[in-house]
Amino acid sequence: MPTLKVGYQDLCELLGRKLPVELLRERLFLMKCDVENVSGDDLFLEVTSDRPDLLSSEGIARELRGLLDIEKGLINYKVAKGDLSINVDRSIKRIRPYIAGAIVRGLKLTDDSVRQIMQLQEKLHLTYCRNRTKVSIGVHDADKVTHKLTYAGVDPGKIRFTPLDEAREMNGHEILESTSKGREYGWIIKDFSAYPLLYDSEGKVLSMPPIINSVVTQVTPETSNLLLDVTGTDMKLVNSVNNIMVSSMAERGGRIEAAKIIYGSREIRTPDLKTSTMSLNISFANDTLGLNLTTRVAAGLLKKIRYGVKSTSKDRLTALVPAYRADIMHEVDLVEDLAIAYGYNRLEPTMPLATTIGSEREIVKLTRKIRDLMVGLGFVEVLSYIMTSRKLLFEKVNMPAGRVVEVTNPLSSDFEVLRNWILPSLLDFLSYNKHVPYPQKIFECGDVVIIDESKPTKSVTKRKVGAVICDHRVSYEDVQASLYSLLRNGGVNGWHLQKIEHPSFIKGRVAAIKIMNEEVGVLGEINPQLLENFGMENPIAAFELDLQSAFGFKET
Amino acid sequence: MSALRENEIRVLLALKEFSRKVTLPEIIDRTGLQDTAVMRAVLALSERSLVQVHEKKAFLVRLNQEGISYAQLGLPESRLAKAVLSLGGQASLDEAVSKAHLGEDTIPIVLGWINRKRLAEIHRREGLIYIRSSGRVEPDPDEEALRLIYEKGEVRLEELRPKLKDAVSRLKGRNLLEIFHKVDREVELTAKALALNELEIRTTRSVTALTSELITSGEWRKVELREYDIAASPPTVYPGKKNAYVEFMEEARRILLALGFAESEGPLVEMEFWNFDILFQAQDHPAREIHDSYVLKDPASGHLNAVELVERVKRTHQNGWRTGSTGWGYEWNRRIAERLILRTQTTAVSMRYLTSYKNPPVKMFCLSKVFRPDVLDAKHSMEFTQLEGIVGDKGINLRHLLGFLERFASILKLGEVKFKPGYFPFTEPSVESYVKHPTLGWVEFVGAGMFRPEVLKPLGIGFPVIAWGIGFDRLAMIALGVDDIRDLHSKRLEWLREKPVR
Repeated sequence: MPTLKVGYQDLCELLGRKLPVELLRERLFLMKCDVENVSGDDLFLEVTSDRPDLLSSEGIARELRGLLDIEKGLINYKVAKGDLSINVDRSIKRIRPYIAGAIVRGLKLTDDSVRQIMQLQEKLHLTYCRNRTKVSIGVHDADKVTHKLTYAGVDPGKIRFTPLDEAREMNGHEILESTSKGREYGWIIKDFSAYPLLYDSEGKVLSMPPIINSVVTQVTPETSNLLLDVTGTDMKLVNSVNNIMVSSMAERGGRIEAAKIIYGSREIRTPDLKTSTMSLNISFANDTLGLNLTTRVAAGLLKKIRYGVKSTSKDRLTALVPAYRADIMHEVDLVEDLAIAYGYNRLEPTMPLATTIGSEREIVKLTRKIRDLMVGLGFVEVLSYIMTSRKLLFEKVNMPAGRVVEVTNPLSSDFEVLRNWILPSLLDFLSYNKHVPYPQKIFECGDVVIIDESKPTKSVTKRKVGAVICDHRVSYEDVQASLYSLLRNGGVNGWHLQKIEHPSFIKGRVAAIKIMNEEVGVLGEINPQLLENFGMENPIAAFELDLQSAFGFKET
Repeated sequence: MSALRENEIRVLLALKEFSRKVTLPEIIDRTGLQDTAVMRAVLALSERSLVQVHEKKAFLVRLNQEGISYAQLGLPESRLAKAVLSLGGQASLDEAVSKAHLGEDTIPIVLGWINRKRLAEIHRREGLIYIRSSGRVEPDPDEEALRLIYEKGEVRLEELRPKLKDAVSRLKGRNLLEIFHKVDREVELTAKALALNELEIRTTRSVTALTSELITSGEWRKVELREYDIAASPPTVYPGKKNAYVEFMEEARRILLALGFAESEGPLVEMEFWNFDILFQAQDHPAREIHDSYVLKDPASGHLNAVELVERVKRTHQNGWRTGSTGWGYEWNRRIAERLILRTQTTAVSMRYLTSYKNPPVKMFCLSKVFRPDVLDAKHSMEFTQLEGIVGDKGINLRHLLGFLERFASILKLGEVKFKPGYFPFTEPSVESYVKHPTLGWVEFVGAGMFRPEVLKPLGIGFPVIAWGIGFDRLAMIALGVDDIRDLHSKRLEWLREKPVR
């Protein structure tokens, strides 16, 4: 979840009310926001990732004013017609085709407001804009350029401007190679033959989205009017981000002027802060929440979350959804906001009444039985990870490399594949306990995953029991005795052993366990080569069984 | 006289047979008792003034690792002298060293010993060193001592001839052997013991073990059963034992079964479809990126065969289908949905369950492993356990969800619960619930919510479903008093053996 830093005094000023920190903390807990920490005047907040409009103190204050009944219902942010126009050149179409913009005048640039604008931009980039791939935002001093702009794809070799925080002019390639932002985000545009560029009618560059702004339009303490550019690959998202940005600035008294965006013969104006509508069935809301709200009460609650409400009929109302709300896809989203306005703390918990009979899985029952028997036989139960390394599954246990489920993105070579048998985990366990009193008898009932091309997921999960005995003297017979006892008491009759060769075991001291000619497991004395591989000083005998095929039942 | 123990009698009788001073090994040989048993018996007899123990100090000489190797190969100085002889009585140092297979680092020491023992003559010519041997190499007492000690394993210093004693002190100086201090004990019967006859000794015996022979013969009446030191420490016994974490899972299962839930499970290797798409998580959702999911290299993709379901999910993503939703408005890609990953959430299991259980009421839980890319440390793990549950029924609502969570927390004795709005892509409304831990404060306990219509409608589920998922490892850590997540999969056998059973 994104985290924010918000000034307490600043938030109170935006709220229009001085709220004690503790009360603020309680109120925010009941929104999609939580106070993580308080340090001096700074509040550290966590906001859920579905509410990009809450990623600044302005957005949070707007929502809180509604919940605290300070100010309810829809806010009409005025958008004046301005002189900004952006001509979208055809050359950008295959690269980063959409742009939105605005000019915001009269915004007082205090420490708090600058901090919040930059934070909102950064947090939006990180979350909603998917790390600048889908959308990116540029904030400029509007008075340093003409307001006739062009957004085009330009040959990187021909791009020339001084990027923000750099001392000299660079071309497109240099920017990607030698600026920190270029190295961080360059991959987004690197493979195109032209890079996105925004410049004015005099050829002054504003930015090279989504990488970096030019030094020309740098925002300084003297800046009084801001120009926004929002570019991206998804038009809906581009507009929605632009709306969130200007709505936040308007909360601090900024006057919004629209930009005319010219896509060839088509012209649109951004920001478009017109509300959208979403119809809400009151019975559906009440059924979902377990409440008995009247339509009038529901309308009042929605206004606390800053919706407009119109055409109230008996069982239905239409919510006017503010343009900065990017998360409303279904009427159920309004229902959740109703619950938030009502207060999660006021919802009375009640037990569901449905009477059902619990049922266990056969494999769980069987596993319990086998664990009981193994413990009775004196074994200690261990638990190891299903993720492991190729080295452990093959190399260390003398097995030829084979096919196992493998991930593309392991963070450590110790955890790169899923185990296909359990004994390597147990041998690994013993190797950590060389100096612990003997005899050591351990077992595990756990899952392994085998590749099986015939299954839709190309694999099958199997439950195994593995057991090992390690002592100064230990033999095949010791583990065989435990295995036979387990099989007998597990209700198996008629198993037999077949002599096999297995690289992990000593030749002539290893057998396949067979039931009705199906191989269900293996037992034997561990090959001294493995003991050496694991640095073990004492002999080990072991068995491994497939639970389902050994104890034969059908999973229902 | 009070009763003698069995071992004491045996030692006493053995001493009578010897009728002289004897050493402990002699008694061990004669009686067949273990050395510690003989020691104990002798001590007890001496306390009763039946024997007298004479102590004699001795020095034992034993070779160390290097001493053993010199005993086998010969001392380096004599090896060098012999090498010179075999090279014709004169050789350069390099030749001789190489012939004798000596290490470079030993040369200065070896030359010193050659001089001191006069084994050969050393000349310098044109910056080179030559060695000349005058005749045959005399037997060296140092080597004689080495070989003697090597053959015997250890020798008593006082038993050596004076010449060899000197050799031992030289070898000790060269750090080739170790000298141990040892006390020899000899045991002799006292006058009091000599006065006892065999019968007197035998009839006063006490026994340690009550044998079947003693019981069936009635002999037990005649013997005295020795009293034990009842507080002496017994040997440690390690029981076969269940794993505490697995047992905690079993406890959770019992609770859910009692509440009427059916357990279910699905594959660990899962198609993104069941893990994400069906849960209305858009195909470009950040959770689907490689930072948050383990994507498989092999096998890389599966096969979707639920044709109609897949089509409905596709349309729901694209334009909302008939769910009343706007949808995500993008071109849905089947190939992405068929990609195989390691399951990141057990919600995939709930989805599979709902495809076959469509009649309310439905109550299911899954307690199983999920995987997310993380580096294993005290707080993080790439593999962890989730406890997931759903309740679907006509008329079920958000308050029921809160009611269930409150009840579940109280069964687990987790104390006070509070709820806050949350966000999960597949539930709306969503809830996060916190419990008040006595030391940790408010701890997030569970994420929950009601499945979105975009999730339920494509499945053909016509009733609301509440769902919750608990990070079970964290719960287990609190319950088991463990503060390192790795201890849930502990590799410490001692810890597993000693940890008390809950």
